[in-house]
Amino acid sequence: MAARAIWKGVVRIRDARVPVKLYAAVQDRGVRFRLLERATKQPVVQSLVHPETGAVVPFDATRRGFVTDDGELVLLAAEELERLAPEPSRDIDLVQFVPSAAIDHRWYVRPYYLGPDGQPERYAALAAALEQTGLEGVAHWTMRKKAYVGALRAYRGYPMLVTLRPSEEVVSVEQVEAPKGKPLDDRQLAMARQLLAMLEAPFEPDAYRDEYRERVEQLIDTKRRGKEPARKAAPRRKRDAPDLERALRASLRAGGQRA
Amino acid sequence: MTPSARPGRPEPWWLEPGGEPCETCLMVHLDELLSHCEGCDAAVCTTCLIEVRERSLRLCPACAEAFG
Repeated sequence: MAARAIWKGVVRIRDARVPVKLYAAVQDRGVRFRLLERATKQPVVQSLVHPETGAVVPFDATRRGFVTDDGELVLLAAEELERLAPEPSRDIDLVQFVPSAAIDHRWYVRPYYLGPDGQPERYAALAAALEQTGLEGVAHWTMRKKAYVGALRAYRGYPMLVTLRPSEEVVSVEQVEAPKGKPLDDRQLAMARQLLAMLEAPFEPDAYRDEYRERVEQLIDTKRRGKEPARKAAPRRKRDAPDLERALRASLRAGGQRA
Repeated sequence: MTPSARPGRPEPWWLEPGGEPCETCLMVHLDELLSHCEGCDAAVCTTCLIEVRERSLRLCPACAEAFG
C-alpha cells in the first residue's frame, strides 16, 4: 500500500523553495484489542468521569487548569491557550546546516520522509545536496498548531525530517553518577573489547521484531480456526549473572571452541 | 485518588502524569499510552482515539470527521 501523506509543506532555504509532502516513517503496530464487558461481551468505551461522583463529564464541559508547586489552581480558558498557538504556516524553514554527527541520538523523536509535491527538479537537487554533503539541516515549522524543530537529513536518496526534542527535555549525562570502583584493568578491558568484537555484525533490522505481538497474533489465529492454543511452560528464570570477568572468560572460551 | 488506585498503594504507572500531550485534549500522558493518528500522525490518547473499523483506521477526532 502506498504511503499516505500526512501533511504538505514547503522547505525554505533562504530564497529557495521546495514543495514537499510529509510521510510518517514509523507506525504503531500494536495488537488492536477491543475491551469488552466480561459478562455481556459488549465493547466498553472510555469516558471522563468525576472522581467523586463517578458521573460522566462530557469533553465540552471540561476546561484546563494548572496546579502550581504551591498547590494553587490556575484556570485557563481555551481561547487564552489558542492565542498562544503559533501562526499556521506551510513553511519548513532551514536555519542552519551542521555536520551529521553534531546532533546525537538523545535529540531525535519522530521521523518523516519527504516526498516531492511538484517541482521535481528542486526536490531532486535538495535530495542530492543532502546526500552528497552529509550535512544535516536544522528546521523550524508549524504543523497541527504546534511548533517543531527538526533535523533535515538524507536517507537512501530521500530527504528525511526528524522532529527534535526541545533542549529542556534532554537530560545532561553529568546528572548520572559517575562510575566508581577500582581503576580499569587493562586485561579486563582487552577481554571486554574481544567480547564486543565477537558480536560485531551488520545491523539486520528484520532480526528485531516484536515477538510478543507475533505470539498474540498467532494465538488469535489459532483460536479463530477453532483450535486449542498450545500451552507453553513459562521460561525458567535465569541464574544470577556471574562477575564480568568470569562471564567474559566463559564467553571467549565458548567462542573459541565454536570458531 | 483515581478509581484504579488502591488505598495505601501508589497510583498505577499508567495513571502517572507523563510528558507527552494528546494533541486533541491536551492532557499529558506517558508516551507508551499514546497512539498516532493514521491520518495526520498527531499523538492521540486512548480516550480521544477513534477507531474506524470499516477502514481499519485509528484516527484523531479531527481526521475522523474529515474522513467522514
